[in-house]
Amino acid sequence: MIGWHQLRKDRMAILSIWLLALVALAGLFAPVLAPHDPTNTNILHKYAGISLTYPLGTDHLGRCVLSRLLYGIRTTMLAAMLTMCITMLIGSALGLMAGFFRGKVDGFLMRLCDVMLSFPAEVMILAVVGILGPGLFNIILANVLAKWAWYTRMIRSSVLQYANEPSVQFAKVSGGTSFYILRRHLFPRISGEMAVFATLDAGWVILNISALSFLGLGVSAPTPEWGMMLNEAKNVMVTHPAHMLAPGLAILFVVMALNFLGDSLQYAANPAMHHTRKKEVRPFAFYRRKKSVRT
Amino acid sequence: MPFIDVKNLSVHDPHQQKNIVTNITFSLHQQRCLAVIGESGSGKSTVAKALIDLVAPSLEVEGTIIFDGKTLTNQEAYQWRGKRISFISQDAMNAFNPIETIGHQMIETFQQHLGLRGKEGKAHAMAGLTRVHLKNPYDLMKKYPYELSGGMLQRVMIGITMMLSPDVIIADEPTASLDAFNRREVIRQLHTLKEENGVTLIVITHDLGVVQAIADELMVMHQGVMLEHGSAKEVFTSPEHPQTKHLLETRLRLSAPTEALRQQKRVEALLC
Amino acid sequence: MLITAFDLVKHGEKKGLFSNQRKSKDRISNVSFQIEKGQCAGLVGESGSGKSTLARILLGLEKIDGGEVQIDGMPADKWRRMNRGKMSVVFQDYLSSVHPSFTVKEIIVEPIRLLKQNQNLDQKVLSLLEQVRLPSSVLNQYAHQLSGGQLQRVCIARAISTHPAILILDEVLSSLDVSVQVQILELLETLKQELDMTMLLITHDVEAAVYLCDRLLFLHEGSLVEECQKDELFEVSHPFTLQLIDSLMPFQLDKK
Repeated sequence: MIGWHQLRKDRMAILSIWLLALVALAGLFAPVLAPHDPTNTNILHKYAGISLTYPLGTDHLGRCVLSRLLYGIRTTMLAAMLTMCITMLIGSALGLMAGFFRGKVDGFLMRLCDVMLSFPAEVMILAVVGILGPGLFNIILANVLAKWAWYTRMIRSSVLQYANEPSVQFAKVSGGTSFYILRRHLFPRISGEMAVFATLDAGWVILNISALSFLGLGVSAPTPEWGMMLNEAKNVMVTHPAHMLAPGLAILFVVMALNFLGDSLQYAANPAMHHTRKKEVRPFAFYRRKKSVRT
Repeated sequence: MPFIDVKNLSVHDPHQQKNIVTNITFSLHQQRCLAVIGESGSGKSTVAKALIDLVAPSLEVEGTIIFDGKTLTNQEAYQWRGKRISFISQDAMNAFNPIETIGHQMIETFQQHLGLRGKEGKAHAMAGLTRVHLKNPYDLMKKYPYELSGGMLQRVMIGITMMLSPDVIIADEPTASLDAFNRREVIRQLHTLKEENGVTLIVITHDLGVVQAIADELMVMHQGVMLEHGSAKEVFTSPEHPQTKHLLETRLRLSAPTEALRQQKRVEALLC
Repeated sequence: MLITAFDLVKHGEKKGLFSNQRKSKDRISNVSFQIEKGQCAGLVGESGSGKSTLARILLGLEKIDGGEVQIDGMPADKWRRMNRGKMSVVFQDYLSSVHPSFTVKEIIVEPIRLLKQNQNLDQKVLSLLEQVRLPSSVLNQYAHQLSGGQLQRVCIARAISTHPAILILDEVLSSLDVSVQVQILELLETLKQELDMTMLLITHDVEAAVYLCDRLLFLHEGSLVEECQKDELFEVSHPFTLQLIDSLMPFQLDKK
C-alpha cells in the first residue's frame, strides 16, 4: 500500500515523476516536436554544430541529433515498458500461484527459478540474442527470460507473508474460494510492491536495451535508439567527443529518475520506514550528512 | 535527596508536529518502585525510553533528567546504560540478534558491562536463566532466538537484567507476553531485587494487578500528560481524575467475577 | 452435543534431517472434549499450550494427525461444507485480520457477500453496527483510522453477520488495553444473551474466561488437564490448574 501523501512530500519523487512524464510526452509527440525526420540523411551537413536548424547538431550521417533523440524515446521506452509488463505478468502469476498454493506447485516453480537464477543475467541475454539474432523483439524476449525468475521469487515471498495473515484465514473460513482470495486479497496487496520492483528495475532494462544496441545486437539502423546513437558516437569518440553527450546524458537522466522514484516508492510503500528519513530528501545534500544514529 | 529526578520532560515529534509527551515531572527515591500506568498511546513507553535516551532519533527530547545527582546527557546515558540503568523492553522478540545464540549474546552482554570472561560469563548466564525459572539452561544457551517463544525471550531478557545488578531497572511492560505463572515469578523477582538488592524500579504497565503487587508510587498518564502522581495506595483509594477512576473501575470489573467466586469459597470453607 | 472432539492429535513440525531432535513434541496430544449447543466454553492455557492450534483445527484451517472432530453428529469437514457461514471466528490481531484497503462496510459485508446474500446489505450493516455499539460514522473509514477497541468490534460485527451457530474467539482480548478488554467482554456477554450461539473463548486470562464463560477447559502443553464449570473454579485439583489460579494477580480495593 503506497502512502501517496508521503510521496507527495518527497521532492525527489516529484522531480523524477515530472522528468519521466516530460520524456514520455516528448516521445509521444515526437512527430510534432522533432524539427527533422530522424532518418533523413544529409552528408553535406555531417557533424554540424549546435544551430537553430539543428538544435543539437548532426551525427556522422548528417541526421538531426535532437530528432533522433526524440524518436529514440519511443523505441527505448516502448521496449522497456513491454519488457516490464510481460515480466511482471509472468512473475506475478507464477509468484501468486507458488506462494498461495505451496506444495508441489511451489516446489516445482522454485526449482525452475533456481535454475534460471543461476545464469548470470547479462550472459543469458547475450546468449539468447546471439542465438535468435538481433532485433527489438529478441531483446525484449531475452530481458524477460533473464528477469522473470527474480520477480517470481520476490512476489512469492510477499504472497507467503500475506497468505498467512488472519484476514486471508478469515476469508477461507467464511467460504472464500482460492480465486476469490487471490483476486480480492492477495493481488491488491502485492500491487504496491510490484510497482516498486518495476520502477527499480526499469532503469536496468533501459540500460540493457541500450547496451545491446550499443553492441550492435539491438535495433537495426537506421531506427533511432539511444544505445545505437552511443554506438555510432563511439566511433568518433576522439574527434567529436561531444556526440556521446546527448544520448549518454539522456540515458543517465532517465535511469536516474527511475531509480530515485523507485527508492521513494519503497519508502512510501513501507509505513515503518516513514520516519527513518529525517528530512525530505534533497538532492546534493550529502555534504551535510550528520553523524550516524546513536541507538 | 531523590535518586531519580525528572523535570519537565517533553518529547516532540517534528514530523507530525505534535507532542508525544508533555511536561512530565516526578522524583523517585532509592529502593522505591514507581509504576506508570495508562492506556496504549498515552506515551508511557516514550517516557521510559527517554529516561535512558533510547527514543527514535527523529524525536526531540527536552527537560532535565537527574540520576543520582548527575544530570543525564547523551554521554552519561551511554555509559550508564546497562551498567547502572537497565532497560527491559516490551518487544523481546526483536531485542535479540537473530543470528547469534542466546548464550553468546548473554555472555557478550556480561563481558561488555561486567568484564566477565569465559567460564565466569557462562556461569553468570546459567545463574541468570535459573533465576527466571527457565528449564535446561545449558541447552537453552545453545539455541537461537527464533527457537524460543516470546515469553521465554522476555524471561531471558529479565534474567540478563537481573544478573547485571544495576541501580535502576526500567521495565517496559515486562509481563505483557507472559502467562500467569511467569508473570508472578517475574514480579516476585523484581520485588526481591528491590527489597534485598536496593534496586530502584520504574515499571511501565497497563495491568493494575501488577501495580498493586509491586508498586509504591503510581503515575497515571493519558495522551502524553501526567494526570496523577502519588503513592499507590492513595491513588487507588482516592483517585482524583475521572480517567484514573475509569481505569480503576474497569479493572475492578474484570476481576470481579473471579473474586466473587473466591469469596464464596472462603465463606463456604468457613461454614464447613 | 454440538461439538465433539475425540482423541485429537497434532504433531509438531518435523525437524530437518540433521537436527538433534529426533521427534518433536506433539502440539496437541489426545485431547477430547464436548461442547453443548448454546454453551459458552473457555479454553484456558498459556502460550504454547496448543489452544490456538485447537481453534484452527476446529475452523478447518489445520489438518488433524489423529482423532476426529464431529459437529452436530457428522464429521467436521462435511458439516463445514454444508453449513458455510455457520462457523465464524474473531482473531487476536485485529489489524491484520482485515484488508488494509477495505472500508468498514466492505469488511463487515465480506462474509455475507461470500454467501451470495446481497439483498439489503446497507440495512444489515447498520443493524450489525448497532449490535456492536459502533456509530454509523465508521462505515466509510479504514482500519488504520480506528482504535483497537473499535476495530475489534468491527471484526465481531463481521463474524456475527452470517448468524453463525458457532463463534470462536481466538485471544480476542490480548492486544487490547485492559479498560477496552472489559468493554469487549461486556459486549460479548450481551451478544451471548441476544444471539443463540455456541461460543468458544480462547484465552490465557483466567479472569476473562470466568467473566464470560459457563465452562472452563484447561490446556497445558498440548493436553487437556482439567475441565470445570465456572462455579467450581476454586475446587480444581490438577497441579497446573492450581498453580494457574494461585498465580492470579487480581486487583481489589479492599485488600488488607
